[in-house]
Amino acid sequence: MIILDALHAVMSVSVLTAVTVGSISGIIIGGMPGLTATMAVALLIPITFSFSPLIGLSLMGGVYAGAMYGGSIAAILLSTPGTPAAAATAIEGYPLTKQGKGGLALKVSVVASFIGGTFSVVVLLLVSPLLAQFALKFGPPEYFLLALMGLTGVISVSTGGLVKGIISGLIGLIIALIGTDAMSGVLRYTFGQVELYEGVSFMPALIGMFSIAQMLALTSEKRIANDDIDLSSIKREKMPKGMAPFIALGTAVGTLVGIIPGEGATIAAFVSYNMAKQKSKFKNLFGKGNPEGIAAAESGNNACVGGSLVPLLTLGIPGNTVSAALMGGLMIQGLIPGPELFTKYGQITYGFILSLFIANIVFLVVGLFFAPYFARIALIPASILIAAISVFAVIGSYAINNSMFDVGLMLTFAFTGFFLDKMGFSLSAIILGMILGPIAESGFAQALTISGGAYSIFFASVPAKILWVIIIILLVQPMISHYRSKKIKNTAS
Amino acid sequence: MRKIISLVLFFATVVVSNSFGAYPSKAIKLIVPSKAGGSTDTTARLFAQTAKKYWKGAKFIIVDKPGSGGLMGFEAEARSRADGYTLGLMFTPQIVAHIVAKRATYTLDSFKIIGNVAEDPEIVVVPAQSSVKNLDDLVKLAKSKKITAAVNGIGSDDFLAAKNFESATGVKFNLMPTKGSTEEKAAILGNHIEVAFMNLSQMLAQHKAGKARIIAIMSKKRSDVAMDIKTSVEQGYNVLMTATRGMLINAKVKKNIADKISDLYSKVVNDKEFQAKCKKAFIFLKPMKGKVYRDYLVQLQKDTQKVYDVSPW
Amino acid sequence: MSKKYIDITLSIFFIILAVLLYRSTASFPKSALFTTAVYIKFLASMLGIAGVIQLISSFMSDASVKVIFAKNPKKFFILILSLILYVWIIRYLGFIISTLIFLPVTMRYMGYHKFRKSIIISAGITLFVYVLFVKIFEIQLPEATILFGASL
Repeated sequence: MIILDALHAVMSVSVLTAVTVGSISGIIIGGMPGLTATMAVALLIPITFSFSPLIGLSLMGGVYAGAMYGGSIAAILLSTPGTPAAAATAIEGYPLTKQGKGGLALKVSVVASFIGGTFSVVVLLLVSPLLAQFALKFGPPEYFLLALMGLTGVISVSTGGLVKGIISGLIGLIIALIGTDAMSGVLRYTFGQVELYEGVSFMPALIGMFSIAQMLALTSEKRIANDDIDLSSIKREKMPKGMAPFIALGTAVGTLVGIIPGEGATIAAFVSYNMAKQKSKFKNLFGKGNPEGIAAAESGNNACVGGSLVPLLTLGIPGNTVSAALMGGLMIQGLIPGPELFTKYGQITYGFILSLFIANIVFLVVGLFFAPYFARIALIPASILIAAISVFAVIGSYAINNSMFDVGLMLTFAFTGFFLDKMGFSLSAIILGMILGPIAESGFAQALTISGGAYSIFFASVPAKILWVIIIILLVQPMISHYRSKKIKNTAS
Repeated sequence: MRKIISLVLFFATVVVSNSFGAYPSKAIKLIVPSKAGGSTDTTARLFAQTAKKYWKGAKFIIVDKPGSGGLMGFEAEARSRADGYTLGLMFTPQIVAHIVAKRATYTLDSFKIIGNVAEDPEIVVVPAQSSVKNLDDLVKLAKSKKITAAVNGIGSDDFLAAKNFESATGVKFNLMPTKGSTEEKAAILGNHIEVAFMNLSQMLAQHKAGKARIIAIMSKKRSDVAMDIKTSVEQGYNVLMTATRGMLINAKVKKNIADKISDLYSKVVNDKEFQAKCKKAFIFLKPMKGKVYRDYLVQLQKDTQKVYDVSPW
Repeated sequence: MSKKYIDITLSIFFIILAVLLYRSTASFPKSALFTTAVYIKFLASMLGIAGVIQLISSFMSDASVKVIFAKNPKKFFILILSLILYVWIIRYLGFIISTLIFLPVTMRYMGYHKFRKSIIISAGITLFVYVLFVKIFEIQLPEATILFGASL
């Protein structure tokens, strides 16, 4: 059995060390804005020449899995998502930290990440070729609908009223228009700034609106945790009950969305979050610190790790920048994506997949062990925290593109974001619009190019029809529950 | 007072030793005008790794400046200090396309061209299920109905190749620009479009696995890595296109330092280990010395200008 | 500040933005007219409609509702100012020197009065960033252009 051979190969000291080192560095990379798993893999590529293929790959795989989880730590504790995929986690995680329940939030996040990550790897191991066919069904019209599905999340994240939520989402979509028109190549809304030709990069926006805007709010507090909480309770948080259905939901969504190439992890996290809110009995707690939201978002984005490797290994289509860099790492080892990976090079490929299981176990252990210690960040005096996070935000927005322009952009987003947030607009909706805008626009434009301007293309295929049904459910359901809650209020008064 | 004087002296020594010391005396930056983990980035990292063998103790730092089809990186290279501590990677035809489209503040004269490192020839690829087997079939199909052709962005090598192919054959495609080659790949493998213009390294694996069909390589000679693919010239279409990846420095760098860099370049591209690693990473080496490569760029700029004059972007 | 009047101002701003955006598509080249231009027009129309609805509901809202932007305005504005200054001096002094100035000063104004400890913490954070970014990830931090001239 090829899988048993692979298992034997993985259980060597050198491979296990590589996975552990990879996973732990991944957690640090994911938690630190400005460092990305893509950078780490790029750094590793020339070095891995001197390693055996399996060691090199399990090191990279460990970084990938670890970084996806690591993004949630700073998102929960400091409202500083290290990756865009962790933005949804910050919406519920940071309020929990303020209530002194950071430890609980971290535990939910690590367990959800582990389950999501592990399940998607099982799927990758067992049914890759089948799923690859599913991924290929997605063409430009389906990408557009997928983005639309993600955008329904605007309803869930808008806390200051639906109209303001929709305006926020539109602001995000409009900011995403800045840059080069994809269809004609002409520049639009760039105001002559070379730095804007590529568009507004969203990492600086994310850091500014989530991280610095929260630091501005923190100026009126002594520390993140509220004063009236029992500080000694931080260490003894138990895993809350009733998380299982939300983790299952996120895992299913993440695995499926991850398989489709594109900005999978972010869409998966927000769609899972959105669905969790519709499903939850405690809808009114969302936005104020509901662990159910964390469970869904984190299982959702980690389930993308396995999912995104399906089209990579079977077809050579990398789903995101990390897997694109990983592909470079594969090819250098002479492993060319395609059917041969699972037959001729089966031992290495399956070994790599199995090593991802271990990476998940490593971050589970690390996460659970350190959660109570990490949670104490909430007790650090605000004066120190504000200064330190400002430095990380500045260097983080610089390092993504080595650009001081991005630092200025980060500050602009921070100040306007803070103002809009106070006025009841939703910063999460702006981010969602900025991330999904380019996917929606190019899917829309490419589909119409293929069809010669006929809109029927958006309803033609089976996946398109299924997506429409999901979109309609996601739109109608919140309206019904909104209507119901109004009715209850009226009868009560 | 004595402290201040010694401090000033200290800084003076630092500055002086920096400008008059033996080159190289500090870390050398290698600007990559694209994302970390991409093909150009890998080329730069492998170059740096090998360069350390010849310049003992030298340190290289890779600085990725992605964005706008390399424009961000090219601009940074043109603005870089002319002390020889900044080398730049570049790729064609984008570096000249930006000049032609009047986006760039640099010209070819802003740089001293060190030489070309690698190339990635343009290919024409169709889905495996397609009935199109060669360029004649493609032209026939395109004349019978409107077909969609994917190119990776406007002003790219793919775009120019498609435009040149159109004007050589008189057909008119439904041009579908994508963001990145991944989208092109997915559209071809999923049979969503009829044809794509791409680079060899991006589809070679899929072609060999029978998941897509490369019907032509747009160069005069067949490629060593895929001898089964016919060239466009063989099929009677004189449309040529390739993407090259070279190296440059600021034009104002002193001659003696520039010569040292040129010498390093020659040593690296002729290094057996470097060549072996590049082969594994799907980087097709095609060394071209500075003068030859510069002439190539000048000609390329003229050709690109012709396309731009007919259909600007 | 009264929330009502800020809301009205913002709504008018969004409506103007929507009109400008809609009209901007007229100058688009032919290749974009049936694709991206349609998408932009759709966004502009949506923003226009949402802006009008928001404008109407703002007019009907209670003028006595106030928004408090900062409970501690002094610290709030000092942080904004110090962030802007920090980013500005990085261009000249580079990342390391600027950070070594920014950290203790900001900590002091945010209410941390133990001077020696704040210096130690500042040095620690700067060292951490230096080791992680420069030594491990080989990322170039912004350099001091005042000493060595412009580079990137």
